[in-house]
Amino acid sequence: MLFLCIAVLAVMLVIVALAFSFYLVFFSHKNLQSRSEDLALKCARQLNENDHGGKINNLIAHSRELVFTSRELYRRTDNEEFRGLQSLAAQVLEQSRSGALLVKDERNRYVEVCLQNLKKVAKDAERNDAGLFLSKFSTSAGEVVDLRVGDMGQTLSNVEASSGVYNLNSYDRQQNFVKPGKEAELFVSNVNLKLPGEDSDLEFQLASLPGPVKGIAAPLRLTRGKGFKNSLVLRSAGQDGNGKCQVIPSAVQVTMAMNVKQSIVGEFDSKTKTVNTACANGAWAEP
Amino acid sequence: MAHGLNPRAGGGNFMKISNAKILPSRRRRLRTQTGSSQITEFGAAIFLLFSCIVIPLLDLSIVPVRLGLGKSLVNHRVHQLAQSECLSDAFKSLQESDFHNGLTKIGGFSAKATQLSLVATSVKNPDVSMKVDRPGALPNDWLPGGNKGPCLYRLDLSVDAEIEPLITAKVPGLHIPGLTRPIPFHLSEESNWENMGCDPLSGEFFVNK
Repeated sequence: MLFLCIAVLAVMLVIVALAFSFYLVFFSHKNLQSRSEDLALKCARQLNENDHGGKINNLIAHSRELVFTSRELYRRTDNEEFRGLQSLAAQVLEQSRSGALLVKDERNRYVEVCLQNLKKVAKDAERNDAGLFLSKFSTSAGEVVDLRVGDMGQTLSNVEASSGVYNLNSYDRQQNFVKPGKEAELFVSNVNLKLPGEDSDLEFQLASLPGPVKGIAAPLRLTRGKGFKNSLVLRSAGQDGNGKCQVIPSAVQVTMAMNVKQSIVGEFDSKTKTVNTACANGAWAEP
Repeated sequence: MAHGLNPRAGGGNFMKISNAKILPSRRRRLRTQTGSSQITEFGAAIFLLFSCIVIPLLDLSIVPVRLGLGKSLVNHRVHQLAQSECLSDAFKSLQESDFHNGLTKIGGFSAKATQLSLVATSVKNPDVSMKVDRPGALPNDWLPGGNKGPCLYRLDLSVDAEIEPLITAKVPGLHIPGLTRPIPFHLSEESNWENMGCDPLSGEFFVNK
């Protein structure tokens, strides 16, 4: 009788141990999920911190407008009446063209800095994660397996089309570079907004950052990742990758993995993985 | 001794023989009196141990496991839905997804009804809240920038489910949850709504679109 009672107790203990080990596996997965979400949000914050991305978008659009108006001004000096101002108009045009190139270089430099920051944030997250160690149960530190940047397939940028330059506005409408929004017409994103004629060699691409509506900027957020368009793989299978982004990315996708090992009841090794996507905050209203 | 033999008078060998013969019979007599009753009780005790403790415990111990798994699935799903682009997306993906089947795959878990709703709670007065169960139903006062604002927006997923124990003894006319029928449970999980932005094309808030 005593032996049977002990046997029943032993069976119950084994069942409890099994349940506990499963609970720990679930717990560690949930823990990884929350760390991965945290990292995705930290990375997304880097993409448009202090609205740098939104400001660069506005700068690109303004420099485009400047090139267009400078070219129009230069063309007018072909006229006999303004021929004396041609050299001055040529100088203005040259400056606005070099200004557009400067803005593009600055945009590229900003993207590079952002990507470096993302890599640093991911490495810091790995370094600060020590894993979990119980006597018969352990999890390894969470590893950032994949890190991708891109956008959520939004076709609009935060930049409002200027109606002040009539010719440019009608050209943009003709080329479908602008779309009517609730409050104003907005430029499309991730498209080279080429200028007509001699200035078509210049590149003007806007990032897909949502603009403010009713004075409210879109906050930083997690998303389901449905529709995420990858533009650069910063890390693949745990290996850092190299590459360049044409535009400022507005979303980031983080894949984290962790090994779970338990020997409470037999040996059990498994790998748990989570994928999280976060969107950068939207642009602020232009002052 | 009963025959008047004195062991001191050379009857030692006889005593040895007689002890060897008598003692086992005594032992047998003792077993017959108490041991046999123990053997009889043993069967009944084992039966009681298994039928009243081990089997019911095993039978019911699966219920919290299933409940935990179901709760975890509902929590994961509502967290996913709260990350949708807009509220109508969340409702649509819940309808299109195989959520009920996912719950059924746990085994012994049957979801009877599912309800998704958005709960807006005023930060100024946390006792006041507004619950809507379809997109576009949130009044303007409860939207960001509205009179009741600022508000906290949470997506709530409620599931009415029945969880079966390991063995259900189906007795017609007798409805005892956990014994003759599954145990009814009401699971409700919440997650904060993520997309607090506004659609630049329509001007609608994604939380109400």
